[in-house]
Amino acid sequence: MNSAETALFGLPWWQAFVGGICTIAIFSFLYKENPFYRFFEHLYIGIATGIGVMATINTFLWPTVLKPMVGADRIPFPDGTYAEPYNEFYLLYLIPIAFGSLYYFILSRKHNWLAQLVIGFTLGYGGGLAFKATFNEMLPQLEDSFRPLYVAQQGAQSGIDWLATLSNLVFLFTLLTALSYFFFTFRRSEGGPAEKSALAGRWMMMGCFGAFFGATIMARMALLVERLEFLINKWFPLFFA
Amino acid sequence: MNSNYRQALIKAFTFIGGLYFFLEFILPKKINSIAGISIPGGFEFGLYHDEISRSIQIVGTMALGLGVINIIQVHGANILKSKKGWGNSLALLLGFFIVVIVQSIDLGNSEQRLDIQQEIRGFSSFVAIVHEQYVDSSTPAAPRIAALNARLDSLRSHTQSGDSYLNLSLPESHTELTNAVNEALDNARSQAQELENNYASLEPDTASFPAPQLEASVESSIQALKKLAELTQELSMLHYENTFGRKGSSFFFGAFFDPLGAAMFSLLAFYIANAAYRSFRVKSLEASVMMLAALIVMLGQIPFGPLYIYEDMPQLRVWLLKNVNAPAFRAIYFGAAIAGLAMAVRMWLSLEKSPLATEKTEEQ
Amino acid sequence: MDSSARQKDSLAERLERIDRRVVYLLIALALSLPIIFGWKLPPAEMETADSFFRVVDELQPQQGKIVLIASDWGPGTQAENKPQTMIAMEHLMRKRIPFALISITPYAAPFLESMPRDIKEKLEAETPGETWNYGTDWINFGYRPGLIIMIQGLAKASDLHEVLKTDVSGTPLADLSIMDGVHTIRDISMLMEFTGLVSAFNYWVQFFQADGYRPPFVHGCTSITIPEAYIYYVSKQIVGLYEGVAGAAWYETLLTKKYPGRESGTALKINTSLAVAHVVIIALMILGNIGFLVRRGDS
Repeated sequence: MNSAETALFGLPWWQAFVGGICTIAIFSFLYKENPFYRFFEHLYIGIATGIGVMATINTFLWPTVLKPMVGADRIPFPDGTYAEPYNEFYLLYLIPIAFGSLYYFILSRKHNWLAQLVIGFTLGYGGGLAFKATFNEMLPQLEDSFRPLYVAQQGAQSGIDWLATLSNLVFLFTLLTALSYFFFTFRRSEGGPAEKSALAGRWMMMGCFGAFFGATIMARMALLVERLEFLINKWFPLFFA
Repeated sequence: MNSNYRQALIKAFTFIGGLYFFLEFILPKKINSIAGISIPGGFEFGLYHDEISRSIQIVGTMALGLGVINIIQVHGANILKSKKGWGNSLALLLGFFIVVIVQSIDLGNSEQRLDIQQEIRGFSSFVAIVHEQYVDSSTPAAPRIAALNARLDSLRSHTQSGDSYLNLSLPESHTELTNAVNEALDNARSQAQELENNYASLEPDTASFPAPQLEASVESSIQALKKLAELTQELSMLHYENTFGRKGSSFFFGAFFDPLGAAMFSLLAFYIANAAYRSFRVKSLEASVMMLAALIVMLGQIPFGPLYIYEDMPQLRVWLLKNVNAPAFRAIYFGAAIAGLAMAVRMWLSLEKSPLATEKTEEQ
Repeated sequence: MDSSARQKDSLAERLERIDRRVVYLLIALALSLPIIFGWKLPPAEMETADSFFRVVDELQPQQGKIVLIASDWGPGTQAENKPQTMIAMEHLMRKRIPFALISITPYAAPFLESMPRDIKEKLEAETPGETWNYGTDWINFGYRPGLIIMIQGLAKASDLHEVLKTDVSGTPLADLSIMDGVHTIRDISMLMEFTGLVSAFNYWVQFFQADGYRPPFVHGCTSITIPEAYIYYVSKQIVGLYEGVAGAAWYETLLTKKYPGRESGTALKINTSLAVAHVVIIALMILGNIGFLVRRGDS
């Protein structure tokens, strides 16, 4: 075991010990539902919420917003002056703070509509950003979908590159048939080309889902092997040390 | 207020919310003319992008408390009413509050460290500013540098006391650092004293002191103070690492959050294995295609070994992923992306009911 | 039904209905045995990790340029994302290419501090006399909230010093030499993003570009999102990809080939366990199907 693996956040043995108990508590669910598991599950949710809330305060709300607003980010000099004068423009942050505070009116029955203003605003900017998000992501995808159906050999060799040509054919066939499967604008005639294409698309998608399944197996196993490695190499040795 | 006005106002805010980012996407970076009328110097639309972004971030951050209120309401009520599973609610709130308290203490510790680091880092700029103002507007410099010396003296006392971020009572492994800090403090103090004497001997008659000598004195003071700042930064970080807040945060993460999170997700491994065994049956030709693809992907990604059945399996796997999986998934993606954009536009233009709207508001 | 048919039927049924706890035990054993006995098998070749390696290896240290590593994962997916991030970081550190760490998820923060320190220790032990230091070889911006808004803010920043202001411990960026000359997105020579969240990856694809410039983008995903990541790989929106821990394991092999003295990390070990577990799962699937086919044949 190298140092990189043993020094998990510089944990002393008792922290590793607690970590092992937490792991066992969660694994106990495999046998059956039990209070031991439930307790640790809730503890996890509480800690996760606490970390999330405090991370936002510690990394954004205090250093970027509140600290400059109260002028606490200025460097004091020994003679009582400051490195830079107080910037009143930071007080403008009070506007988004006040506007964001409208969220809390969601708790009031009478003034609930005020919360709708800020919720609407948030949904609105999500909508505004969606244009950029969709086009930035989708255009290269579209561009890549235009594949040549004849690929020439590279370099000194001449003639057709059979593998690349076949690959492009399969690619386009899959793309078009799978797209046709999701085309619901008109009713497909039974046994017609649209239905055949959709059926072919369905088959090709089965190949895709199979690949997803194969990948999922590896993902899940990898998550477990990390825990087992922790128990075998770091937790069990605590009892034999 | 009339409910129609309220609705109009909500729609207006929704529209305004999206307008900036929409325009920012479609407009050129710099607009030189509008409808044939040229704008002198041009107009940069995204000039205040940083400020707008930060303001929107602040608006979003303000919702943070809602989640906290919610969990306190729900789980607090469970405990007070001793409902079934109240112990779990207690665990949740306990976990939450302990982390909040410990991390708040950590924030306090971190701020104390930052204050002292920033102050010492500011000394060199202080000397530069004092000198600049002395040269430009003959602002007396000697008393200001005397204030710096007094501060350096008080910092020296901090290095002796045991409760400061600058104290030098460190284990032997840090002897090199403690010696260096001591030396840097002494050096900075003597340089600053010399500078104070130089200014004092000049004031109020600035002409009698040879300027280059003063400049050199200023420069050496600045360098000594910079060195001091560098070393005290390292020292204060070392002390900060051992504060209760820092250690407590690290403990909760390492001993609870990390193993619990990892274990929670790892449970899925057992379920997927069970699901693969129980439900993956070759009931139809389609299911067979799916299974074949799954097998190729699985066999193509595992290491070579005695059980390896076909040498080119990784290549076959990549071919499948690139030429069957990618286009099929891309077709799904195109559909989802276009539908997502359509939905976003409907939201932006208030054509869609807000999923967060209460029944009461919708009725209005 | 005669007794032999009943026997056959019950065997088929038994093949189909192994108790779930037995399945769990088999999986746990399959994953544990390679760890206990320290087995390490050479990983499968990964074309995508090859590309990743190639683009990083071609990168040269340049004054005023840094690599940005977005480490958007937490304990839940650390099994795959941690070895990926560490191996990429190690490659950069060996090549003395300065890099910055950032995360859009709060749960990554402690890892951002521990990972480069661990690699520093490993490299300094391996090459006595050489040192790697914070502030010159790497910098940690920590967790930055705001998701899309934050990423877009970074991409469009006229001065990153103004937008980011300080590193994770509050040191002004101007005081850290690694940030000398690094002011806009154009000074970011490569973006590396590691995550188990598809949405986090999408945010970087969608918003980390400005004025026609998008840094070369490499990505490390968890195995579950491999099929999805491929659509970006074939469209060249990403120029390299770690396919889960298997990708990291192949990268380890490439790195060890280039730096023969290096000690291998966790990816190879995890990958070997995965192989054994895969074989067990495939065997279970075959058993279940044999039972199913026998029963169907009878009926």
